[in-house]
Amino acid sequence: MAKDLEISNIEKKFIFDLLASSQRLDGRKSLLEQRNLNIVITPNKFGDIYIEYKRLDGSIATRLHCKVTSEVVKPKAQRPFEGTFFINCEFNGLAGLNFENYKVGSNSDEFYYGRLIESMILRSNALDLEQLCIIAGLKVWNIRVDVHVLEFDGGFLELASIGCMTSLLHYRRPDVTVRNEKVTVHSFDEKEGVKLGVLHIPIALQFNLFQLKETAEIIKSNSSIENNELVALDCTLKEDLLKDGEFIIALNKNREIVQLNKPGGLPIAALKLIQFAHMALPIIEEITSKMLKAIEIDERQRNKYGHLLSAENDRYAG
Amino acid sequence: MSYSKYSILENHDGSCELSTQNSKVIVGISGPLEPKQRHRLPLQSAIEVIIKPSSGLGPTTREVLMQDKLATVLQAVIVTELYPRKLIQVNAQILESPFDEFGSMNGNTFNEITSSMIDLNSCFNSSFISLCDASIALKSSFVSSLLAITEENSSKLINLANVSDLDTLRSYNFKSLHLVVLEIEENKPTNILLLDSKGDFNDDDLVKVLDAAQQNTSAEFKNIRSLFKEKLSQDFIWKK
Amino acid sequence: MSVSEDSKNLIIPGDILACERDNQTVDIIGQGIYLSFENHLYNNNKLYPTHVGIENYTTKNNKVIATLDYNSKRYIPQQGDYVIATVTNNYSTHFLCTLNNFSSTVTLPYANFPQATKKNRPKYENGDLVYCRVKTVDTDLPAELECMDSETGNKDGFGLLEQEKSKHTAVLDCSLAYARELLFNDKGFPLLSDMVKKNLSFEVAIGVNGKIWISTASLLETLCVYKILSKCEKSNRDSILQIIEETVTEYVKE
Repeated sequence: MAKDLEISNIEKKFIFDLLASSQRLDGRKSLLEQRNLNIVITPNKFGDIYIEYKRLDGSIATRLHCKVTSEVVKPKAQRPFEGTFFINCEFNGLAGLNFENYKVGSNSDEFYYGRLIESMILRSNALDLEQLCIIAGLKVWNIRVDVHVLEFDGGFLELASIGCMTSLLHYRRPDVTVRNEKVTVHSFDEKEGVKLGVLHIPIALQFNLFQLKETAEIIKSNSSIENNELVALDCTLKEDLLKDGEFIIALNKNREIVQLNKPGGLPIAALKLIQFAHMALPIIEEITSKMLKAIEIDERQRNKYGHLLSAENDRYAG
Repeated sequence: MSYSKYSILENHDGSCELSTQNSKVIVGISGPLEPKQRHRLPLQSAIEVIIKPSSGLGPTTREVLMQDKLATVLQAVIVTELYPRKLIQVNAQILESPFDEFGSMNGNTFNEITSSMIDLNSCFNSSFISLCDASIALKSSFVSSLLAITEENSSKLINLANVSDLDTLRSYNFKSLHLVVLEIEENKPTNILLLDSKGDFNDDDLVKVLDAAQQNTSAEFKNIRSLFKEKLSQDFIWKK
Repeated sequence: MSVSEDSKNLIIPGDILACERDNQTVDIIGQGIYLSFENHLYNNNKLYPTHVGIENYTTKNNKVIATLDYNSKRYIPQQGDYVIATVTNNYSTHFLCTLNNFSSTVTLPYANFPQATKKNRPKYENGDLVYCRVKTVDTDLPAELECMDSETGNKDGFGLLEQEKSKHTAVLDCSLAYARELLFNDKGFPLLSDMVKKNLSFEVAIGVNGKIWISTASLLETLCVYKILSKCEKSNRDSILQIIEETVTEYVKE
């Protein structure tokens, strides 16, 4: 819709006052507390994942659906040895009436976040594209991830990056055999699927900045510009509308920065950058282990009878 | 039988996630809203339907065709004259479709038709529940059923929403497919709101299909009635 | 009337209403029931249910009123309703307001304020909340609001919902039936009086467009009232006292 969400002055002030006293409207008691992350893997399918933020009362705040599909295509002429990879991530009317249904302007917020996720995963080589080659120059796999926003109450960047990476980790493409340039794609009944080569797991985290005092007020009172901000993680939609700036950092658990983004807004002290990176690291490690655990549990359920068929000998220690 | 969850989207007035044995859609409906200029009709409400495919950008021509069919039925059922110069927005996202995996089309062109009809069938049933959830005025109820006649044995009718085994579904060779949307008045299926048939069939087949559709409609409507009973007690939970 | 498991009363569009079945005359039709004009010439118009709800007949001043009780989120203006409107724009003669996000805008003319003159116009900013009443509803025009009792010309409690310096205010969105119940049925649904009994002091204004304005002396008390009101919408009546107790100890520790 062309119209924006309208939020009254009273509501604005209330939400801001709550933030200033470390309270959140949804019941969280800290600015750095995230909502409960929940990963639901669809059984009997590969790379089909629902990822949601749940509020304290158990209702779903934000919910995304990530789905990986693959097909055999001709590679790009410049890169004959590499498969292709796309992420399709857009908001539509289902996520909220404030989102336009037919193509949005390229400078709108949701468009920008979609691009951010794409560049974070595509350009950091999170996915090994060479593994996707079947016959050089002729046939390669094309992998695409579709991210559907089903319910939206903030926290898109985190969820989208977690969802994309979980579905890529979970997905299995059909196995192929090549004989005399003839390619046979095997169904899952004939041959086990092949996992994708995920090289590292980048996860984005958004720090939202709120200005405590107006700039004019600070200049008047001659106090320092520093520490004039509140930093909050995982903002709801209404909090998001009030924020004065943001800082986006994507890390992997190898302690590497994959992406940094500070698109204008409230200025922060340069050294805060390192502080933010340190703050993000334990959070990202926790999320990564949660992801891997969800996949492991799913694997175990799929392989319920695996141990019966195993030829491995029991080994006894000592 | 299908399974549905209602009122799951907070950003919409009404919503429903409906899963059949082989497909899953989520529909969010809001209205009456302030329309844009192009949607403004002087005497009745405009209905905007958007269906998003389960993978890839959309709506493509496949979805646009589905949108049109859904919109014509909604136009007939919604009391549009109650909301002049307003907009009712219907957003559907297909989440699971039996033919969206690689190679599942088996090179069979009929599968493409089957796939879009399965999606459309779920969209119909899910949007009815969403409309009621959104409290948009309706003239009557409707239920959609998708029936197929298989080639091997033309007397055999299959309700496609009940086929849970995807491999069986993909390997069927259908003689014809029929999407029937029936209006329900006083608990009984009455008028045909939409009949969309593909393939090769004669009038005897069609009569059989309509008979089966009536039975299916009655059975599904019983489910919907008990669903609404539960919904009302949830809506007024603070009254108890 | 309470909503029971009794499915006799459950009405789905397409069903036949009891008054139609029994050929009972209805003098006033309320929400959820539609008088079809299809057979206008033949004078055998029929009443149709248009929503999923509970059939309800009441008699007032010897007139039978038929309604269908249902709950919804989006408000459609009805004459005489008390609403909380958000000012979105102002023009030379009127304010433009919204009652729900993305719904059609409604107007609040400057003339509909007490002691209105050409020079004495209220100064509201965009985003301010105003407690007012729906004056007229016309199918071809935007609905019109008023900020006074148009018969007496008194202010009657209408007007800006202010943000006083010493007070903390908030607005809660809720479903329409819940707002109506809170506003009109305090005896049958004593949530607000129960809260007062628990030593919470607060001010509320309830708009039937699903908005509740809350004002208390401290931020945590406001949050507490906000939480109680939103939790009670989703739980049944027996647990109200427990919810109040729990929320008060959580937020307003002595």
